[in-house]
Amino acid sequence: MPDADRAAGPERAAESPAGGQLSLKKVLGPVHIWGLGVGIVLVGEYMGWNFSVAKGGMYGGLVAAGIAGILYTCVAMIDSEVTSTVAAAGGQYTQAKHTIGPLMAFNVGLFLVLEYTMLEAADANVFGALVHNVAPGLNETPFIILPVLVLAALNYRGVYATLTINYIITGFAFAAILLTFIVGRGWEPGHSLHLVGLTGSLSSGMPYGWLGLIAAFQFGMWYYLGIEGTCQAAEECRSAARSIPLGTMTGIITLLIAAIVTWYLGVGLVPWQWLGQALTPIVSIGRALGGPIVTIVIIGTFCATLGSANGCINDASRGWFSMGRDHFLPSWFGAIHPRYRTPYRAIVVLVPVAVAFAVLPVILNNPDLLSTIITFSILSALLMYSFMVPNMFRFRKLWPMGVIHRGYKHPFHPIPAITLGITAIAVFLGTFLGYGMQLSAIVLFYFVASLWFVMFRYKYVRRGAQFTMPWPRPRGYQDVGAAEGPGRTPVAAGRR
Amino acid sequence: VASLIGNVVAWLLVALIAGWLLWDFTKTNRRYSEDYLTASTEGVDEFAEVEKALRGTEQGYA
Repeated sequence: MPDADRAAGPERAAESPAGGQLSLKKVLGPVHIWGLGVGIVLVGEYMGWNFSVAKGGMYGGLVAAGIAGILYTCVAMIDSEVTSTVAAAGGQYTQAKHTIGPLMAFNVGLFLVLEYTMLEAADANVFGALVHNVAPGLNETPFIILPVLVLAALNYRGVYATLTINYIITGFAFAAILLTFIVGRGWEPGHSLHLVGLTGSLSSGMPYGWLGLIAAFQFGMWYYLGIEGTCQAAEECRSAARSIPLGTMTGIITLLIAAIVTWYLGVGLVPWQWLGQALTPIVSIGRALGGPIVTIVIIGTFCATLGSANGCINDASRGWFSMGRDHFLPSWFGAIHPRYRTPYRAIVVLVPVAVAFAVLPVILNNPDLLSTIITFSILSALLMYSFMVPNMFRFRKLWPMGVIHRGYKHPFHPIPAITLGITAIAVFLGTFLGYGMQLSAIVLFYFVASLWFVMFRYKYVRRGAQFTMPWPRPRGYQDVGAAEGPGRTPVAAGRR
Repeated sequence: VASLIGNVVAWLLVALIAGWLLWDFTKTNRRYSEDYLTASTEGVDEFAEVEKALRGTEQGYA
């Protein structure tokens, strides 16, 4: 038991895990990983995907769903292999630390935290708006803050309950989509759907031609954005080698099914001009069908929104915590709650950030701010996917097959990595067409953050300490950490 | 009136949860030392553990 542990008396000893050293609790299985990954994303099937129809028409929306589906399938394959092996909180951040180096890791960590925090803020904002729509007498602001605090408290109290609840509410939201398909008798297109009438001409199918189709790519990401978040839970899995690939791959299959079903029902029931502008397109689909399905999809919308915000809190806090633990940020953030075994400081510190971004559009009475927040999240994610291409090549090069065991080996390497690169470029192009200024601004933001890291923070990060896994040191890398022992890094100039 | 009650209850819940979070956060920070709270490590490879047991060596991967 460490001295610090003894000094604090018997209460601490009673609460500390075996061995006396705190760690995140290893309690998660594949269903939790599925609940986390799909939970973050499924809100995109309920709202947001339809903007791809506004840009590219019905066929444009379908192509965007397909291109983004390929992109995310590659992401899921790569993440499944690397994270089933690098089983640590921080996910892609920890991957970057091992495969590329500290500056890339810092940037990837920042991409992760901002992607999930901004998405959480958007979810909370939408939740407040939905409550206000259902009961116009209720104010939006308390109902924006309340879900953030409830879910933060849930995350604070323990990961098992958090992700079990996410699994249940996400399961309901997915079942609601499938139920809509059944009610609409999707297998019998002539029964309720009007596919020929609604998509029959090119003016409906692809009204803005090829340019509109490219512009739709960005919104195709909504169907799957966040599935890569499964990696953040790796350190808390009973067996990451089993749970991460199983949860992630079943998650992306679930999302591909949900995406196609949603698109199919949307374009078969609602004219594209309406669909492209709807705040909650799935409710429009439910209303077109009529009956109790409307209530079910409204409840499903609430569940999807909460599931997404819950998963985002989980993932953003793990990213922030990991960066603190490695001294990429002040090590104060790398603390674990002795009783609940969660990264409690990272969870609490990110709450005011999420609340501020969530209520800002309401306080300033500027709804456009919400789309800026969402764009910030999407662009951060897109930058991270670009990193995953060299990440995969480096991982296979530094630790070739046979050198270390892998929980999952993705097939056809390097085809998924190359495909991911090509599809990411296509989506970047589409994003640049619609949001060129925001894209430039965000790249500038990350550049300034990188400067801060290099000038003020890097001195606290020990050189060569990125290899925290107990693996053979790659050829050409000096064994800097060996003299000081494995594990986390003491810092060069005091502990910060 | 129902809307007013709804809004007040929502704000009360916000205050209650925020209060509990801050209370437990402060209590935990005060009760335990920094070294203890920030002592976690990453780097567990379950296959390396199996390998270590099979080979009987300290290093998971020989």
